Amino acid sequence: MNTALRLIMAACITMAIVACQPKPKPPEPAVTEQGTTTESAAVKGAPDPRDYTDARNFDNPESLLSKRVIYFDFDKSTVRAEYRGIVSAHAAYLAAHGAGRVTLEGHTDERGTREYNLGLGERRGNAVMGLMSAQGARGDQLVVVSYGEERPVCRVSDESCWAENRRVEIVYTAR
Amino acid sequence: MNARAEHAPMLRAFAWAIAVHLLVVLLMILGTLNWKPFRQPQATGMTIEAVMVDTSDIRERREQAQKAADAAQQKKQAQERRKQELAEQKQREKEVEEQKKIEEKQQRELDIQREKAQQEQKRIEAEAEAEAKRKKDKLKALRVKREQEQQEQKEAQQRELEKATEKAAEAEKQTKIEAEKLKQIEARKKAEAAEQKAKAEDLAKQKEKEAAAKAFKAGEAATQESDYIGAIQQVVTENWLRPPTAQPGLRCTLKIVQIPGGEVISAAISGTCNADEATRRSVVAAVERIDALPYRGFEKVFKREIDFIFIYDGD
Amino acid sequence: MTVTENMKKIIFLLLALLVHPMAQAQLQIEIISGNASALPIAIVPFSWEEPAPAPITGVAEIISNDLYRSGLFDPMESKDMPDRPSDEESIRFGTWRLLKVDYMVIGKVHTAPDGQGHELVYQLFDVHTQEKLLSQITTVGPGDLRFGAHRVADAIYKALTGVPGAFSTRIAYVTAIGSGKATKFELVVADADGFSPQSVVGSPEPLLSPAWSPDGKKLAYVSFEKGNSAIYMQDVSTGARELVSSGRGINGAPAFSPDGKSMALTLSRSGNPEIYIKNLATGAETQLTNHWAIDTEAVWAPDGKHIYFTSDRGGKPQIYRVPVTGGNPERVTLTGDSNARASIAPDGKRIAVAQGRGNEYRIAVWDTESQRFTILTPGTLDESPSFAPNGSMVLYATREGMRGVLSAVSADGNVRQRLILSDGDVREPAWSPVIR
Repeated sequence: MNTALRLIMAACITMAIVACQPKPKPPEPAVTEQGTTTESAAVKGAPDPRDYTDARNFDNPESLLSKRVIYFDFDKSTVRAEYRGIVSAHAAYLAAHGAGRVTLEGHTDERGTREYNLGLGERRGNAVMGLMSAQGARGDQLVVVSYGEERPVCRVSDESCWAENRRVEIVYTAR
Repeated sequence: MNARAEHAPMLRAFAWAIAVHLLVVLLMILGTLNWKPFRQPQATGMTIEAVMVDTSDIRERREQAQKAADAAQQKKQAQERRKQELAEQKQREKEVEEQKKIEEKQQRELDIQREKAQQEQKRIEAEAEAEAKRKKDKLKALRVKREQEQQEQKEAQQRELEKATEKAAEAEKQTKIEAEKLKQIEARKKAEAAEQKAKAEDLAKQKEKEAAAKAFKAGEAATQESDYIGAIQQVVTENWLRPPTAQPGLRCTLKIVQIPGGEVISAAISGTCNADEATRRSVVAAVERIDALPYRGFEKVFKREIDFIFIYDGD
Repeated sequence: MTVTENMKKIIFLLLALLVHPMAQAQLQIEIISGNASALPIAIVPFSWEEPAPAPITGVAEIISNDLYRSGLFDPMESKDMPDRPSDEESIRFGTWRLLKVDYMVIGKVHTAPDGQGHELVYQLFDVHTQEKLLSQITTVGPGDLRFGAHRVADAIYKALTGVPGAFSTRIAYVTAIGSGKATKFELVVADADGFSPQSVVGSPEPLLSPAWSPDGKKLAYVSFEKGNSAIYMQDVSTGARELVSSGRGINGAPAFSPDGKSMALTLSRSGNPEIYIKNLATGAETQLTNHWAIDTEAVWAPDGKHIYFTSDRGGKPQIYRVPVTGGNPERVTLTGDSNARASIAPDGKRIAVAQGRGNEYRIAVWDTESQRFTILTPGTLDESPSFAPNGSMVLYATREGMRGVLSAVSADGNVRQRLILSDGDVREPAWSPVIR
């Protein structure tokens, strides 16, 4: 090796030794574990509607987290594809917030007998619970209560009212 | 002067530090130089004396040796080859023998099978023959039997024929005798008939009159009775208010007693009645509701006791 | 003529004489079908002989309404009556006969001998034969005049049909007043004609499925007051109640056994609704069904040996039957799109159900012997049938416009009457057993 190269290498090595020192760190944003909203210097403005772990999205109409009713077809308890997003959103929230508690209220329309409809409402609640558990919510975070046809949102005997009553309501008892 | 005295130790420290650093750098630079080893290879001053040797002799001897070796080797190889060939030969013979044995065995088995088959065939043929013979015998026996039966039949028919002809002959005789008798009676009768005729004609006329009168009365009575039944039926049916609990298949008998005038003096369910309480009451009420059963005009066919049979078979 | 010929003639004559009278009496006349009609009866207004003013609705009117509702009687209107006799001697049967009534009832109301209650004195007559069929006195406590009238109706019904009356029984039902979260629910007990309602329990949360104990003293029901369905059992007269079941999941459809010692109920703690039988004394529970379907709405056969229930194990709800000791359930209702909420008649042979067809629901009765349905009501949202304890009528919930009301229909479907009830939406009727 020629002399010039050697000198350059030596200089580089020396500089590298000097550079490997820890620098003083800039200040960090405060991390909230309990989900309470705090003013944070680093996060400002509207919440990301697709961030289902952000509790502010419960009131954000652009976020799936603000949607809390799943509708069903007559005599069926399978969750339709168009509602799976909502289920996933709440499942994601519960997965991120271990203290969150949800009651899944199952309802039916007025057709059929009352006790049978208690069973059908429960089936619907169970279907939603199953999906949520598979997507991260813990078993002890979910409770299914069936009201059958006892708590309708409307009382007209036509298809549009019946469709509104066939539902599961996602009710948070703890966030 | 004090300030410099204060800084003096520090300056000295600095000077030493810089000196040490320079030394380190120097060492590093020196370290990268191409160093050669301390010891150099030294040439030895010794000389070697070499003597030229005639190599042709050696070469010849060497070639001979080589040839011998080759020859030996070839011999050896030939021996080995022969050995191997012998072995292979033996092996082949062995295989051929085995094959022969197998074939013999197979042949023997084939023979046995053929024999068996032949025996079987013979047996079947024998059986068939026997069967055929049996059949023949049977048929023969049947034929004999049939012929016998036919013979017997013929004889029986013969006998019957003879009997019949005998009977016929007798019958003819009888008819002849009777014909004669008849002729005699007829002659007698004709005489009496003439007498009777006059009497009979009178009687006949009388009888005709009586029969006509009777028939008229009977006809009237019959129509009257059916009218009577019809009238009673109508009024009772009108008045039967059948309750909703009456079941199809209802049969209930009501015995009534009436007095001339049509007033019912007793009405009671008797015999079979498969109706419930409410329907039974309706059956009795049907008759009781009526003041009087039809009477005027039906006096002649008045019936004191009537059995009403209430029927309901659904709508 | 020979001797033998003479003998023949004599024998013939004798036979003819014997046969002759019988032949004459055997006239048989067939009476076919008649006219479908209820029994015509006149309940003459009872003579009121108490110092207090007479009630607006008299005893006779209550009796007439009861008998009319049963579908078996056609009571005469009081305005068509020629006079109002109240004792036997004053009856002019000839006049009543002309009016074509078959039976009549006369009576009086006095104060009871103890000075406090009422005494109802009455007689039932067959108008045509003038036969007195009943002569009785019914005594009731103060304020129970309506109850007394119902007892009289029971007695008349039994005398004329042979079947015990069910007019002095009671019915339980649920009312819902208001709407949405402000709805107030109430469990009410009233007379079988809908009068004299009394509140048993009230709640801002739903109440459903009332069920009577066989002695008529207790009501079991489902309440959501704890935030989930739970079964309670309450003494109707004292109001004392106990919690029977409140685990996770559904606690529903309670039904007392005929001996009153057990209760069938629906629990879904195993993952889906199943029928359990609970011993009320020991609290021990036995699981009766084991199937992924919804099994609910259990009712007991009158002999206490079988349980009928609703199950959708075949796809849609149908009625199944299983022995109380366990076993494989067998399907009972063989036709109809969906059949649910069975009520068993006291003779065990007929089963009333809410039958669905498309979007319409009617009350239909399955006859277990002929294996056929008879539809009793026109629909279109009829449910919760409940047999009267004498099997003659079925009480059920139906709609008039947006309002839920209760109606009673005679078991043959001929007479249907809406019962007069309290305000709001009425549903979930349950007919009490016969109270002696």
